[in-house]
Amino acid sequence: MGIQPKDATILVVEDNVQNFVLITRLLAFLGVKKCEWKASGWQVLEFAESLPQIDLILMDIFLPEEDGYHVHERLRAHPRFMDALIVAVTADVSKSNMERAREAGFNGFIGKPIDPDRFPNQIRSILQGEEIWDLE
Amino acid sequence: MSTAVVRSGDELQMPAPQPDSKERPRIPTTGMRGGLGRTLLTAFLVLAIVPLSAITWYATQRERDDIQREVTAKLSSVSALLELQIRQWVGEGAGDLRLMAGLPSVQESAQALIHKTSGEDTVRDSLAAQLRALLAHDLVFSRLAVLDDTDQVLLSIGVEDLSPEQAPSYTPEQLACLRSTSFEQNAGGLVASQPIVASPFDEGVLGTLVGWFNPCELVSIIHTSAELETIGEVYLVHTDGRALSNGQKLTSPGIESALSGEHMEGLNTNYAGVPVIGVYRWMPDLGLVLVAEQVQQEAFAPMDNVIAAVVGATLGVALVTAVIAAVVTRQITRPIVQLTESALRIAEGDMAQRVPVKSRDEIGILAYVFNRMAAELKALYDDLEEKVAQRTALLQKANYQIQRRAIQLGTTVEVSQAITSILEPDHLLREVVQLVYDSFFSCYYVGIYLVDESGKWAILKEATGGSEEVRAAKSKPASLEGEGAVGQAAMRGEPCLVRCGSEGAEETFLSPYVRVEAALPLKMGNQIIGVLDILSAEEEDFGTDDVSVLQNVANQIAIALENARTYITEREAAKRLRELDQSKRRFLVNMSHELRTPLTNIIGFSRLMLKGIGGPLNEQQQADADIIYHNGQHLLGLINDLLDISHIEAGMMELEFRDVNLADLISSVMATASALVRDKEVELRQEIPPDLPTVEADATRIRQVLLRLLTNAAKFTQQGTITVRTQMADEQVLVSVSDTGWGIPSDDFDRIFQRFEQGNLEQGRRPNGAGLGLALSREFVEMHGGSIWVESEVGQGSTFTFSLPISQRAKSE
Repeated sequence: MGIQPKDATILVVEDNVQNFVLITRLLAFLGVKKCEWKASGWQVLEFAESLPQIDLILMDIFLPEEDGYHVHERLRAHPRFMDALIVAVTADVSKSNMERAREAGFNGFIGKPIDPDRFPNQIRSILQGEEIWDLE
Repeated sequence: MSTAVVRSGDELQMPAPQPDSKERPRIPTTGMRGGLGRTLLTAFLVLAIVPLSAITWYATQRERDDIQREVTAKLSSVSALLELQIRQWVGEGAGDLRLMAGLPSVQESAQALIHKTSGEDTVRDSLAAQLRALLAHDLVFSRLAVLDDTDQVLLSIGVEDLSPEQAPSYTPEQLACLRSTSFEQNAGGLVASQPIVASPFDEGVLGTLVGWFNPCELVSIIHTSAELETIGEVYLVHTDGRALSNGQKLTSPGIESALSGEHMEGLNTNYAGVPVIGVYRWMPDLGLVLVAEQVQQEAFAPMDNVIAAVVGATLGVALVTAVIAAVVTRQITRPIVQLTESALRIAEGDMAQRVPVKSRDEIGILAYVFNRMAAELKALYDDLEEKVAQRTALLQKANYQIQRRAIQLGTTVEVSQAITSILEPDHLLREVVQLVYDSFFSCYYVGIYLVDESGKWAILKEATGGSEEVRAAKSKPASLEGEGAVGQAAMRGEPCLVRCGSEGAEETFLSPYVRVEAALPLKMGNQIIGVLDILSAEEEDFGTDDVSVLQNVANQIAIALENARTYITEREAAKRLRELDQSKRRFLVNMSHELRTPLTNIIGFSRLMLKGIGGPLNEQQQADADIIYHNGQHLLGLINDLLDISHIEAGMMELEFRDVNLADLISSVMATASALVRDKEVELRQEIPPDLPTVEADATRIRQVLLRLLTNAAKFTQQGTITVRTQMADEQVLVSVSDTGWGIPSDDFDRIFQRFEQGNLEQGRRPNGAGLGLALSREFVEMHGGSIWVESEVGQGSTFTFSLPISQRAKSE
């Protein structure tokens, strides 16, 4: 099973535009063609619903309007995203934060700054169905 | 408090005996009186009765002897007379018998009978008639018999054979007496015999004429003696012990001794066992004992009267003696008893007691001396009482002082205890004022002033007691330059007393109750921080001792106040520090978070460039981008270290202990580290024994420590070797990283493990890093229960070693 990066649609929720651009560039390097961007926690669910396909959501935790945990909670409450792949990408790399994400039901955790060398492979693994829990 | 003192004073006066009947000693008054009286009475009685009794006894004995002698003599004479009569009577009988035997007719008759010639019966009859005539003649004999030469009875005639006109009329007793001396029995009789001869010239004996004396006649001879009736009893006893009168067997010690041949007289007992005085005459030729006896009771009867008289006299004398003795005893004992009772009353405390004895004898002298002694005693006692009273007063005073001091000291301790536990200055002052007010005797008002910042005014902070007027007056600030006690004490730093009556006192006291004021400075070293002001209603309060105690309390207050102030300051400082610390940590966390976002871009985009994703770079561009990338990485390391440090400081660093295989861990770290020495002539070596036990550790952190040591070693080593060694030591594994770099001076061994410190390096050779690395490494190792240290020589290289405890599992294996 698994989704090939070239077929995947990935939603990036990230308030820093350059970070988003970097992630997009790295995802493009991986072969991902469709990247959607949401720059705040506001109405993420509504935005996601409007999209025809979402295979992975990369979620920043420190977000304007609504933090990543709230957004995640609301997404999980929706039948469509109940089992969707949602990975936290955050600069709060404390162990406690990672545990919190794990308990909240995220499918993975990638600490910032992201390692450009490892990031594409991590995304590939996640799309294959693996869970990634990486503090560094 | 003063009541207690007075009470204890009373106790001191206790020596005076209490008139308490329960406590009164038992006095042997009656015993003494009775004892002496009894002794005297006994003595008197003994003196009177003993000689009287002795004399009586002696006289009685004499009397008794006399009577005995008299009776014995009388009896002896009577018995002698009787004996004579008996002998005379017997002699007469014997003469008759001789005459009879000498009669020729008798001789012839006897011869005829003996030879049994013819006409025997007639002869017999004539002889019988002759014998009968003799029997009837004088009744001397009771029986007559003729015996032949072989003692065969030829003829026997008894009184009973007499014709009634011849025979005397006997009483039945006399007849019994006669029968008892029957011829046949051949006993109990008195016999006279006369041989019958054939002729006066012929010597041949034909036979014997035998006559039995008549016992009745004998008895009547005795009884006819008129005198005998008054004497007592007289009787005859035959050798076989039978009484001649009636043939009864009689026995008594007197009879027996007489029978054995002794003549006896004196006290005795008769045949019936009755005590008698007796005389016993032995008549051997007659074979009779003559007994004369008088019953002792009768004999001594006159003596009873004498004894009765003597006993009566003795009793009379005894009675008189007793009466005299009682009177004399009373005369002697009464003054003694009076003396005794007086002495007792003195003993009970009645010192005015005197003995009213006026006699001029020894007892009178004794009473006089006693009275003098009592007077002396009273004087001494009065003196003693006075002294006791004086001493008691002194003691009372001392006691009061001591109690006062004890309370003061107690209060001092209480104040110290209370105030050292209170750390809030206002609360402290409130408590102190109340404590002093409650504890110090006649406190009327207590207040505490503190000197203000200007040093010119003492401001009232806390007060209690006093009237509204006093409180109002006291609540005004006191000037240190003023005349008031508070101001003076604060100014001079010495206790200041104002007593009632001194100048200006009345104005400041404002109340008739206040008699004295004491102001005591609160001193901290040389600084005067305030004044303890006390108003008292007791004029005698605040003596030197009181003031020193109070000053002591004041000093305690000053110290406690200073402590409380310091505590408040410190507490606030600590609070500020804590807040600062928290904000620092918050800042660090936020900062690191905020720094990560741009770092992501710096590292990410420079890496993108280096990877040539956006198109190939020329060599210069490649090098530039590389610098950006590596500096980004370095910055990230610093930020991570800072975060770790702040986590450790906040106590939030938690390690995940697991059993870790060090060999594997070292191998993987070495792989990473190889990149560090890629461009240098440095060889990486590892010396790890194959059987290394597992350690209990957080693999991430140990990897961090090891990597940092290797990074440092690589940093300071330009050429040579970097060696990682492990070895076992006790229950620890030692991991060391040795290099051949610059080395570290020994002065810096401790310092390099401190935060934000690096080795004291020469200018220009300072390596990158904020100096957090070794400090963090030390923290991590110590959190594992191990330690880290360095051995180094400048120019020779360094060896960093850390120890880790081996895992429990490895330990058990």
